[in-house]
Amino acid sequence: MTPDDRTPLDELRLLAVDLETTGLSPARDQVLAVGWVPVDGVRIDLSGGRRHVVRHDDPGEAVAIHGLTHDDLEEGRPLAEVLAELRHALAGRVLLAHHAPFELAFLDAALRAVGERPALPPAVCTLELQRRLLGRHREIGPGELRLWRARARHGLPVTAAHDALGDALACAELYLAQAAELGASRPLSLGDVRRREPWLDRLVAWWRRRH
Amino acid sequence: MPLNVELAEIRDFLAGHVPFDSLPATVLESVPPRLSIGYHRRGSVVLARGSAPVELLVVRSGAVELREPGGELVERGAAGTCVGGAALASGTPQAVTVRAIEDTLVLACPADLFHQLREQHAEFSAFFEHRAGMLRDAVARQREHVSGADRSVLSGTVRDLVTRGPVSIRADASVLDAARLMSAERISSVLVTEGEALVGIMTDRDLRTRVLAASVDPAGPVSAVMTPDPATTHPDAPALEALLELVRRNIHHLPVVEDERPVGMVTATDLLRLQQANPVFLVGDIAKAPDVATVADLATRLQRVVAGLVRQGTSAHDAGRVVSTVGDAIEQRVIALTEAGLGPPPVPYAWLTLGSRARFEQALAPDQDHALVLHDDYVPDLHASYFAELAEQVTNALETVGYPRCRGDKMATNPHWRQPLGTWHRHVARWVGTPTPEAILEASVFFDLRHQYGDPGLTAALVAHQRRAAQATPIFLAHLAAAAASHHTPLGFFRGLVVDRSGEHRDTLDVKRGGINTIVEIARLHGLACGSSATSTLARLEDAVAAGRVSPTLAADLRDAWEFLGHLRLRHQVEQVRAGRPADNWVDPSALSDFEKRHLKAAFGVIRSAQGAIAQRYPVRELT
Repeated sequence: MTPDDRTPLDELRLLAVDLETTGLSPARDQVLAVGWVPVDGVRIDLSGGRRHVVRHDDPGEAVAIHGLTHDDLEEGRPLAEVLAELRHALAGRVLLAHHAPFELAFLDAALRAVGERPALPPAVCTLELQRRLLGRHREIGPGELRLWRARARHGLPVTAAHDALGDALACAELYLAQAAELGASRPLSLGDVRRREPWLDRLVAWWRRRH
Repeated sequence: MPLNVELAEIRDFLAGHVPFDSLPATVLESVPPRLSIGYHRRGSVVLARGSAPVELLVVRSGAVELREPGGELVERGAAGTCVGGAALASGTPQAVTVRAIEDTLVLACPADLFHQLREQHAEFSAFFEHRAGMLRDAVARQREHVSGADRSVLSGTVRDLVTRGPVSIRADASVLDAARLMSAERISSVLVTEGEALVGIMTDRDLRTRVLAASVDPAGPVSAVMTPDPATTHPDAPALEALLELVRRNIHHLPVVEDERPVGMVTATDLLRLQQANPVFLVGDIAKAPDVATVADLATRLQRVVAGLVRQGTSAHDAGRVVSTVGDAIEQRVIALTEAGLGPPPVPYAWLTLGSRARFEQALAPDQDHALVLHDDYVPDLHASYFAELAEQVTNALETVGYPRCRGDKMATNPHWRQPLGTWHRHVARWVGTPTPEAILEASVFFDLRHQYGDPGLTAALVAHQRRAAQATPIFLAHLAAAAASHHTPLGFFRGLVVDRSGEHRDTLDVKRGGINTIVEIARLHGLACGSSATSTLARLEDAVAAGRVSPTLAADLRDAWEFLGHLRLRHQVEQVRAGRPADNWVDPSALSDFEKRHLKAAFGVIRSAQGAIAQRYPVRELT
């Protein structure tokens, strides 16, 4: 059952997803690895944690950034297989990511590339939630919304280099902290934390200006 | 098996904390994928009292606090703290509420995994059970830890005595070459070999008597002046046997030979080294010292003796006896020397030793605690000056030797504590009859006394009087109980600091005030209450068990806690002395291992339960 806006956060099932890519453009760049870990309400379920390297013959130079070797990528799994598993893991869940538009755009492009119809679930973006939490009190400084800065603000452990699963987990932990802070005054549901489409935000802002 | 599950960080985190650090690497690897992660905001309840835990929680970041329903702090823990394990292991409800005091991330280990790990790994399991004898094992491990390479030399073999490889020369080499070799190697003897076999030994004495005095040409061969076929020993021979051989033959060098080849040398210096590290010799030397300066010189050896004992794995109990015995020898010698200077006393007197040395529990940071009991024939106008002078001279001499004056002035130089027996009886009556806080403090010093010098009959009379008075005065015992129960015992450690019951943090642990002294007071109370004539803590506890006042279990726990704390202090002090610093009782918590912290926490727990038992038995609260 897919969650809807009334699903309380305590019962909300999410899947924290992190992609490693060759660059920043969904049109030109490719997915190198995918990591995910499920969140059930207020618990991260490590048993569902996965990391899959995608097979590539010519991955380019971004490889070094992620600590992947050409051998890793040659031994990786076909993109279609990895995406099929991700879709399976996402069933009945909301996608959770730090800067979710990035993950959504790449997944959309990747699904099209393997000839599938992209139908992505609602998303929760920890970067957006962090902006909301910080913006409540003051101006947001440069870099403050980055995953590791955001975690540090919540007193979450700071650790060294990460792979896709490590970053998905880091995002999931940040979400638990954010949800606890946002939900301190009243119980929240998905509608309160779900990522809004940019056009909807603009519409709301326009409407507010008019009234 | 999931592919590429890289939860290495969580595995590494667990590997850094007890009890997970005891798991084999392959087992530890399999743990993270079976965990889940939860988050608790500051102030929220992590685990409620009375609930039945379904998982073990491990603090990953942040901090938690455990408090009794009445609000009393039980424990405060940061990253690595386990919560709910004891209740889960015993199948009982959670005993105290656990609350996050910072935003806290927890790793949750499900019950089935927890039980599986407990079943398969004894050390993991032991962590969650408060086994009887846990502290005793810890003490044994502590002592074993330091011994190892440096076992008691006398109980070892010749191999342990040999400090350097053999220096040898061929039999056809010249005497001059041999002398040059000895000089270059700074040795007093050289082994003479033919091929690889030992054929003789040449010593400094041989050079003197057989070369110089006999006008032998130093260009001639060594074989002409050496001692052929010398007495030898074997590396596996008992060390004691080899040293006795030196003494018996009145020689200074004993070559060590294995398969006819020399492998080293045992010398008279080794014997001297042993003698200097032996408390028995030290006590003997002090008793023979002709003056205070010599006593002071000998006293500097004490620290080395104790360091040697610690390395050999001596218990705190035995080390306390050695330090006290050497202290006794020093005090007795100083009094005897002083008395010899002043002439015989006008009336009989007894010199009493008080406090920790009286209990045979002196550590390496002692001060002076003593008093004088004078015969009732004492007439102040006639005799006061003699005893004032005796006290002053002895105290000064002891200060010279290295025992600072008592800050509380519990010394024979204080006229209060230099009185005829009759006045001492009035002191006793005051302590037990009107137990003000000051009187209780005085009593705690003066009820631990031992005869040191002079007329033992006077001491015995005072002790007997004290015992009768204490046992017959319940109000006095109640005040002793109140004092013993009111000491703040630390709870444990939080981020390298000591935490006490009020939740306050300190950056040093006072092993004496925070633990050892409280056990001493508990034992004194029970000892005096059952009329025991013992002064030492362990003997008092034994008597209290025999009298049915203290349960054998609690007494055994207290003894283990006392020994654990004592040993920790001993090692701390030996290290300070080695580093050239004065010994004290303050341990830096950040210097403690996790093992020590865990067992210290257990020791503090034992003390608190003994304090609790006292509080139940005596109307303690009304008195404090």
